[in-house]
Amino acid sequence: MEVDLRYDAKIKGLAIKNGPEHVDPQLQLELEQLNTICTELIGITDAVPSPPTPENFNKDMSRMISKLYEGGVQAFKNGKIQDSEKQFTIAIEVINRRNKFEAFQGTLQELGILLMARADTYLAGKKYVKAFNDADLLIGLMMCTPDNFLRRGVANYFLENYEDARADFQRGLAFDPNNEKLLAELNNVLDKILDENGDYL
Amino acid sequence: MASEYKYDEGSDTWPYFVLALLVFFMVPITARWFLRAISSGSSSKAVEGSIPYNHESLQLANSTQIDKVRAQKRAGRVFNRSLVIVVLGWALAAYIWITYAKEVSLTGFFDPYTILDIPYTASEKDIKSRYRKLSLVYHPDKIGKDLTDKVKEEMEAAFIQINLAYKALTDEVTKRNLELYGHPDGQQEVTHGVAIPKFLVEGRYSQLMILLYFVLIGVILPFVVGNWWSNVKATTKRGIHVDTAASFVRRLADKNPAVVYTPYTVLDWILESAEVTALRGDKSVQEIKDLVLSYFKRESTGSDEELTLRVVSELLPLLTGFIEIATVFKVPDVILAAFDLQKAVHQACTPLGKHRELLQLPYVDAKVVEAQSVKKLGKLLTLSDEEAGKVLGISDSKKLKIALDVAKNIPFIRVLDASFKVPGEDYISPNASAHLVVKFLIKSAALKSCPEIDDLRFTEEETIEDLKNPLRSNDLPPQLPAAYAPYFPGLVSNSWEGFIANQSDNKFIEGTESALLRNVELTNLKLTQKEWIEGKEHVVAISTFKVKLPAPVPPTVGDFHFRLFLKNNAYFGTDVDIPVDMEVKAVPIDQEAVKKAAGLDEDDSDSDSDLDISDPEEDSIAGALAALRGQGVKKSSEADDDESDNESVFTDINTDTEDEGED
Repeated sequence: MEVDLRYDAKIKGLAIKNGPEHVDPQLQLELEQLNTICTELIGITDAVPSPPTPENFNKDMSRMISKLYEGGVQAFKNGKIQDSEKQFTIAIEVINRRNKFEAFQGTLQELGILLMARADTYLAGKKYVKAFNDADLLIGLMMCTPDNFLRRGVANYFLENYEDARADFQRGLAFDPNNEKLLAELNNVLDKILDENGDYL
Repeated sequence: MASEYKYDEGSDTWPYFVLALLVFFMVPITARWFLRAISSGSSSKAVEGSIPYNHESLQLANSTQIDKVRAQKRAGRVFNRSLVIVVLGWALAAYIWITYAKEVSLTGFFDPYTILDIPYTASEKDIKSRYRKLSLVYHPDKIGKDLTDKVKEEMEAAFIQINLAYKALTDEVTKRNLELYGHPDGQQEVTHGVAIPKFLVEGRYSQLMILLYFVLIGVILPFVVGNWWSNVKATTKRGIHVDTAASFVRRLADKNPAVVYTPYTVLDWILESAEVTALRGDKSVQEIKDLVLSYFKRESTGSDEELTLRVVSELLPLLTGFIEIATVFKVPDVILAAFDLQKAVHQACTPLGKHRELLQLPYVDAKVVEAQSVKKLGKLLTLSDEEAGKVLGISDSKKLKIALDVAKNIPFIRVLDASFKVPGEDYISPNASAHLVVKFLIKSAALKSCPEIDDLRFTEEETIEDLKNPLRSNDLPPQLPAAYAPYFPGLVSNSWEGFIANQSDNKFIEGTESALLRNVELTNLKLTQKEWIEGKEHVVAISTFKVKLPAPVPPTVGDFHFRLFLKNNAYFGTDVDIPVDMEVKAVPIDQEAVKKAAGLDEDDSDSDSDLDISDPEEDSIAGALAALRGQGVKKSSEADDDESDNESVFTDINTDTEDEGED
C-alpha cells in the first residue's frame, strides 16, 4: 500500500494527502500517535526533555488530579453519583493531558486509582458497559487485584454474561482464595447459571 | 572388440529392471491416492450418539448446492492428477509384463536337496536311502520297456541329475564346488551386462538416447524437483498457504492488547488469505464477507450460493491453521473467538450473542428467538413442546420435533473432578512432569442436576502401561461421531480441544499445544432423568480426559492456579472453562534416614545395613550428592552425639510430613 504522507500546517503534523478513501485504521492510529508525540516534544521548553524520574513528575497536575479525585469521592459519599462520575472523568482526562515525556510509572498509578473509582461509580450508576470497560482496562494493565476482578465480574453479571462473570470471580479467587465478597458473588452467579439452564443442584 | 559391454539383445533383463523401478514408484503413489479417495468416502453412519440429520433429511433450500460442492470436493480427491499417473503407470507396467516378461527359467540353478526332494536338514543316512529309492525308479535298467522314447529320455536326464545331486551331497570335491560356485561342476561362465537393449546404444537410436538422457537430467529432473520444492514452500505443514500463515503471524504479533477481538475480527483476517483470494475471483473481500454473513443468517445468496458454500468450506482449514498459529502466541482471547467462528461456520448461525445455543438448531426463526428471554438449550428442554415452539418460532410440529431432538442429542460436559497428577506419585513435587486428569460425565441438556458418584469410581488402577504412556486412556473410548452440521458443505469430525491457561496472566502456559478430545462414550445421552440421577455403575458412564502439561511443574512449593478450556468445534454451549488448582509439595523427607541420623534405631541399624544399601555418610562425596538430590544422608559419627539431644526437632518434621501426606 502506498500513501502520500505530507506535513499539514493546519494540524501541525503529518497527514495523508490524496490518499485512498479507506485508510487502514492501524496507519491512522500510528499517524495520530506520531503527531501527538511531536506536538508534546515541541511543547517542551527545555532543549532536551528532562528524564522521566519521579522528581520531574508534574506536581501541580498531581495536586489537581487528587483534588478532583477527592471531590469525586465526596460526591459519591453524598449520593451524587452523576457528579462524582463527572469528576473522575475529568481527572482521567487531566491524566491524559500529562506530557507524554513524564514518568509513565506515576501516570499509571494515578490512572489505576481513578479507573477503579470510576468503575465503582459506574456500577453504582448502573452503567454496566462503561464499568466493564474500565475494569477490563484495569485488568488489561495487569492490575490483577481481586477487587478489579470483582468489578469486572459484577459488570458482567449485570450485563447477563454469567459465564464471563463466573470466570472473573474464579480468577479473582486465584489471587485471594478466601475473599468473602468474591465467594459470595461466585455463589450468586453459579445459581444464576443454573437457573438460566433450567438446571438445579 | 565391438563393445566392452554385453547388451540385452534378447530383452531378457531390461523389462524386469524397468518393471522393478516402475513398481517402486507406483506403489506409494497408488497408496496415497487410494487413502485420499477413501477418506472422503466415509459418511456419517448412525453411530451411537450421532445426530442423524443432514441437509437432505432437513430438506434445506440449498441442499442441491451443498451436494454439488460436496461432490466437487470429493471428486477433486478421486479424479485428480494422481489418478492419471496411477492409471498410466500401471498400464505401462501391465504392457511390459505382458509383452516382455518370460517364464523364469531356473536351468542354470542347481539345488541337490530340491532334486532329491529331501529337507535341508536331512542326514547322510536319509540322503542315501532316498537316493536308492529314486534310482530304483529312474535307473535306465529299471525303466519300463513300454514307455515312449521321449519319456525315456526325460527319465534318463532326471537320473543324471539325481546322480549329480547325490554326488554333490556325498562327494567331497563336488560338495566344495557347490559351496564355492553354486554348481557341482565348478565355476560357471559369469556374464555381466547392461540392462539396455543394444539398438538403443549402438546404432541409429544412440543419438536419441543421448537426447533422452539430456532431457531427463537437464530438464525433467530440475522441473520435478523444482515443482516439488515450490509446492513444499507454498504451503505449510498443515496445508495452508505460506502467505496466509505469514499474515496470521503478522496480525497476531501486532495484536493490540487494548482491543477486544471478536469472531468477526478473525473472519476479516481469514478472508484476506491467499486461499480465499483464489476463490473469490473478481469479487471484493467485502462482498465475500457479506456472503459469509448471509450464510450465518441462513439466507439464500441466490446465484452466489455455490461460491458462498465453497468459501465457507474453505474457511475451516484456515481456521484450524489460525488456531494452531495463535496457540503459539498463547493468547486465549483470539483463540476463543476463532473457536466461536468455527462453530458458527459449522452451524450457520451468528458467532456472537446470547442466543447462539438456540440459533444453532434447525428451522429456528432468528427474530423470534432473539426477542424472547430463553437463551440456553437446558432451559428450552424444560418447556412444553408448545412453549418451545413459541421460543424457537417453529409452528410445524414435525420440524419442532426434529429441532428438539437435535437439542437433546448435543453432548454437554459436566466436569466432576479435575486435578493434576504425576504418574506413579500421590502428590505433585516441584519440577515433576504432570498431567491434568479431568473426570466428567457426558450429558444431554435435558438431563438435570448431577448424580452422586462414589469417589471410588474416580480412582484408577495405575498399571505399568499407564506409567509408560500416561495419556493412554484418552484413546480407549469410541471415537465421536461426525458432528451434526447440515448447513455446512462437508463432513465435520467432532472434537473438543483442551488448553490450559495461567490464572495470573490469563495466557496459555508455556509450550501449549491443543489437546484433542476425540474419543468419548456418548451412551449417557440416551439416559432418562431417573437413570441419570441414580448414577449407577455401568449405566452412567464416567469419561476421563488427560491433558499433558507441556512444561514441568513450577520449581517452588506452593499453590498454583490454572484455568482449563475445553472448546468444542461444532456446538455452542458445550464448552468448559473451569479453574484448576495445583498444590506443589516438597519431596517428603525420607523418615528412615531422619531416624537414623537422630540415632534412634541404633540397634536395628546393624541388621538393616546387611540388607539395604545404607545412606552415604554426610562427609563423603556420595553423601554430598545425595544431599543435593534431597535424599537421606547419614550424619557423620562425630555429629551423632549432638544430634541425639535435638530429637524433638526431627519429630516435628515427621509430624509435618505426615499431616501433608493425609491431605
